[in-house]
Amino acid sequence: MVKFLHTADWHLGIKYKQLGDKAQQARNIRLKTVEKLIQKAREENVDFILISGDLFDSNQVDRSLLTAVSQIFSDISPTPIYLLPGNHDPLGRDSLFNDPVWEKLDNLTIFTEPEPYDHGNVTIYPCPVSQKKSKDDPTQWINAQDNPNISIGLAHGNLQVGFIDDANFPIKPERTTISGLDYLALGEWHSLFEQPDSNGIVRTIYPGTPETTKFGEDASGQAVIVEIDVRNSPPQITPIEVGTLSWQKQEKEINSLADVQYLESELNNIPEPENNVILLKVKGVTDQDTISYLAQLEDDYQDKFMQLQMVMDELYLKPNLLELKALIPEGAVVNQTFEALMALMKTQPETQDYSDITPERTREIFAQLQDKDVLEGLSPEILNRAFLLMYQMIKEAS
Amino acid sequence: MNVQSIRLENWKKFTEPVEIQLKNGLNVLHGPNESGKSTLIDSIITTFYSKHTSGSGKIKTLKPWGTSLNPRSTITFQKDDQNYRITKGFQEKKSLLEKEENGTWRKIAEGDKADQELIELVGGQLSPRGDTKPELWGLGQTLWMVQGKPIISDDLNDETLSSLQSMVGATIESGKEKEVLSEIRSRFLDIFTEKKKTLKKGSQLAQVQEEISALKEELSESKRIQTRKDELIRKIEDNEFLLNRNKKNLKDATEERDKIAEEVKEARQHQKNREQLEHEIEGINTKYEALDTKIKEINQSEEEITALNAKNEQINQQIGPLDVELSELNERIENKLSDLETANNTIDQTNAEKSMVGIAHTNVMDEQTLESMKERFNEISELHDALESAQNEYNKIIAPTATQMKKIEKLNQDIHDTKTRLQAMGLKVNTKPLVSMSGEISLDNDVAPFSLKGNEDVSWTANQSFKIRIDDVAEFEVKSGSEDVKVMKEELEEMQANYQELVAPFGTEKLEDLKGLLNTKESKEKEFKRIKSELNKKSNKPLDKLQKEIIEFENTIKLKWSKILDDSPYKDSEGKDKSVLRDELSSKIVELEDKIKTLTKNRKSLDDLIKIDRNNANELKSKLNDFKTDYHGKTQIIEEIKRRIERLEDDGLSREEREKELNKLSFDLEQKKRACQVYQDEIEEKEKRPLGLFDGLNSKVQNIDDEIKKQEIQQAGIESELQLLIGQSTDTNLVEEKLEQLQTKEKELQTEADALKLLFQLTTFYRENTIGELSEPIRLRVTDDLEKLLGSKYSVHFGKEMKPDTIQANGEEAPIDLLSFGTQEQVWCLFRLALGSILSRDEKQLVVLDDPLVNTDPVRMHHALEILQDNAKDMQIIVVTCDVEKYNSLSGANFISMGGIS
Repeated sequence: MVKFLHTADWHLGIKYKQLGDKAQQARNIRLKTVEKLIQKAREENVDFILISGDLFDSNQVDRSLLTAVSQIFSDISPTPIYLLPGNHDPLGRDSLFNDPVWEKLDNLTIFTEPEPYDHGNVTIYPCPVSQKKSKDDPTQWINAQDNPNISIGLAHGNLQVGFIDDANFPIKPERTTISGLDYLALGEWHSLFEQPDSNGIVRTIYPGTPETTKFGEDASGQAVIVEIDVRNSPPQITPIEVGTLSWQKQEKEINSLADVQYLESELNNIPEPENNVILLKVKGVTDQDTISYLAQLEDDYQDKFMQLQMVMDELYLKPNLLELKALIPEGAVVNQTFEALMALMKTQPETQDYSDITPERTREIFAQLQDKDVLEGLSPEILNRAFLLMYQMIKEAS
Repeated sequence: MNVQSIRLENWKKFTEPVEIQLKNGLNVLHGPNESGKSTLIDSIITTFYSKHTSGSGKIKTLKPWGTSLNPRSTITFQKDDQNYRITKGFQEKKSLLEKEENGTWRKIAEGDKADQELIELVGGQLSPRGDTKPELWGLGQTLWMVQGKPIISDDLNDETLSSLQSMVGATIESGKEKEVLSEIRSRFLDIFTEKKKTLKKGSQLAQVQEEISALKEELSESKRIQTRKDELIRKIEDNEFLLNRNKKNLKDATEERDKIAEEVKEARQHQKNREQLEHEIEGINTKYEALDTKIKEINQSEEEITALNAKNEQINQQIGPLDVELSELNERIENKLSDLETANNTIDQTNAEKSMVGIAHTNVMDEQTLESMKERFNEISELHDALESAQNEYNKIIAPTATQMKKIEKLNQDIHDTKTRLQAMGLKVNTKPLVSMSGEISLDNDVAPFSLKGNEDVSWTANQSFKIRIDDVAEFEVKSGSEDVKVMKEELEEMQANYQELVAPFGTEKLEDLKGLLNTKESKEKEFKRIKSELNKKSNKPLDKLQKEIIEFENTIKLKWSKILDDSPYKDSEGKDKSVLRDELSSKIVELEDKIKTLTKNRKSLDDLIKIDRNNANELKSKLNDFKTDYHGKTQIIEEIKRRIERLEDDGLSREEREKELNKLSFDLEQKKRACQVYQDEIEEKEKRPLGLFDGLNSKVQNIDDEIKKQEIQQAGIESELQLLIGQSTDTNLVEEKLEQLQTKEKELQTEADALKLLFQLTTFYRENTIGELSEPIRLRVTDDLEKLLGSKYSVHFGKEMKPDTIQANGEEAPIDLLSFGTQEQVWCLFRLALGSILSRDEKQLVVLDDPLVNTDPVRMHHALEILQDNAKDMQIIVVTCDVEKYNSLSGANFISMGGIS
């Protein structure tokens, strides 16, 4: 009977371009998560830990991470950790795994050769990665058919199942059957994935990354505890959740101020907002007041969430001239400027429809402006912004 | 706001207090230049717009020159139908604002507060530091013309513009709008520079852009390092591949080489044997050749000796005859030489003679010269004597000079005249006595007896007194009473005395004598002069010098004579006729010269012959020498050869023995050579091939080994560089994340900037348009007045600063500053009036025109006054002028004369 933790794709030192100045914080969270995971493993009293590749996001990550990781590993000593280099942290001359810090650990084994390794009554068949790309199946060499020990494959690559056509380090889905493995511990995919063999028994698993790395990894933030009774018995798989941050993409239709207010209340209801990374796409057509409110919303809620990013490029401004005219009396410079902006909206295909200034007035205005170079370099964003700025300034003056 | 009165104390030229009263409507302040008119008007500006504590330059000049008095001004003005009074004392730092209520003045504020409240009443601003300037005077910037500055070149200040705006039509720019526009402007200027509308360095956008490019730099540097690392890794791998390949090659090559070891050993032995044989052959050969050479040399040497001896014989035979010829030639030369000497002697003698003759000749000539010199000397000497005697005679004569003569003559004449006059004046007594009488007569005290016969006419003259004593008759005395006579008599006496004095030295009184003396002296003088000039013609040298010359010359001649030898026939020629002698000597000289010529010619030909002979002799000599040298040389060589033979034969062998030895050696040599040939034929196969092969393989092994070593070193180097880079590298996470963030921000800021630019452009454009509309009423009014002033078809156009820009006349447009100064002045004046008029619709304004129409001709003046009068209905105008005549035709104006005040 053997019980072990299977995890992979820690991607420590990963870049978080979308998170801006929160990126380092997110990296720290990531490190904390893996620390939590290893502690969890100790609590579960596992016999060993398998890490199937991409421990580090690249061989160029900050070397201080090595110290942190080696500390995490040494904390769990003497529980052995079996580490496989992946395609993000392949073996090679500049590999992080050449660093002398690893030698101080007595419970760490980094696999550098595709050769079977015995741990008590378990044989591990590691397939270490020494390049970033390859067309060869790294598990090809495994032959455990005649091995009486519980046989566990440890590999990093892409299962060749229907919807995946990534040919990098391809792995046959029937590997466990072909090579006589009880369990094939994979790494590369960031969401938890279980592949049943031809008998319907799940022996091949991607545990996914313990901490989500970007939007769209719906089953990430986990690792698995696996128990195998005896040779050939079906593995018992228990997923555990360790991820901290939640990455959400949302799309909302905004056509009125009410919609924005509703959105606001939704945002207020999100639990643990500081652990939420939200990409909010707003679509629709609305007036300057609403858009102004929306922009303010983004600013206000920035700090509440780990990250709140609003994408407003499909939100169109339909200026409400009546409201504007109410704020500034007739014939004023500001008023004329607003009208001019509405006329200029007619020059942009994206905003043409939302400007209800008459064609005659448009012509008049263009005639006035004809030899000024205001018509150059315009874009819908600039026009929108100009509108909003004026609107905000007027509101302030009132 | 209208000003009602101005009072100044200790203010510039006003050491006594001065006060003027102004009325609504037109005020004309007039007075001569420097009477203080502008000072009065300027005081309004100073009082309103300078802090009472100001120490600016202008304030400092307020106190009257040379005093330390405190300037003080008091101005009363009306605003919104209220009367106010401001008093400011600048040096004493006093400021008091009062308001009139119920006929009394009540204090409203003091000090700084007074300054401040005053400003709030009259508009404008206090100057923060230094002197005040027009733009701070509120409406006064345009309405008040400062002396000498009719043209308003600054932009109209905001106060003026907004006052106008609020006058003309609806409110164009509300407070709200102003706020918005100014907000747009300030946010625009945060990002863009005002002038060029380019991105400002300090703006956020620019900063972000800078940061972005710095980060990109960092990133590309990191990428570079990463690329380098990859390169190094690739290199290491390539090298490893090559290294391994080389190692394998090394192994193979070494094996191959070692295979042929045995063959190589044999080859070496073969080589050794062959070389030994060759060495022996060389030894024998050397011996053989040496011996052969020796024998040959000996034989040759003996032959040479024989040949040389024969040659020497020949030479000897040639030498003999030549010797003889040479001595004959030498003899001949000797003879010729002695002839030459003889000729030389003869020539010398003849020359000597010639020179003697020459000396004599010269001496004779000199003696002739000496004679004539002596003659001349005598003449001169005589002249000197004549001169001396003439001088003496001249000196003897005592005669008056011409001047003196004149004086004497005159005096004489005067005496005569006086006498005559006296006589005329004098007492003249004529008588013809009937009887004879005698007696004594005294004429002027000159007593003289007289005796007259009867019927004898007689007259006597006396000047002063006439006394006659007729014997036995009576004594008569007549005295002249004339004083003149007395005087004249005295004069006469004086003259006579002078005359005596004058002529005393000359020994005579008579004029003719005196004249004669003078003439004589003069002719003596002439003679003297004549002699003197003759003398000068002859010589200008003094006598003694001439004499000295003669003596010297004599001595020289004597000396020359002494040069002639005693035994010469020419020694003595003293007794003979000099000219004859001279000719004789001369012809002798010629004769001798001819002789010398001939002798010389002969000598020359002799000389030439000698030369030729000498040349020949020299040739012979050198020929002989050559032969002798040759003979001697050959003898030397023979000796040497003999010695050489001796050396060669010192081996103790006889000639035959040597020959035998030679043969033996030859035989040996043959044998050995044949043996050697066999070896040599085998070289290629037995030696070269195996050895060559071995060398090739050996060097191949060596090369591979070297290359391996090089590669290993290189590899080590690359690996250490790689390790270094790995150790140095850091991840670019933070940089890339920050970059992403900044780029997003940049986009945002750029959009914002562009939006602001758009807004700024639009608002500026519309604002300017609006302003244009604003200025229309003023423009119309100015055009109206201009027409009145200059005639129709004139119109003014305004620029966007709301000031007159161009004038259109008769269809042609011209910028204002191209007009004549007078016309410009008028336009600006009208502008002020128009502006004041329009603003006065709301509240009555004050327009100040300081000598505005000074350049206006009388015709225009008339119209100008009409316009002034017209405008004065709406507002208060103060005209300052020094020519009040111009304005006399104004009715209803308040004339204030500076004369009446100061």
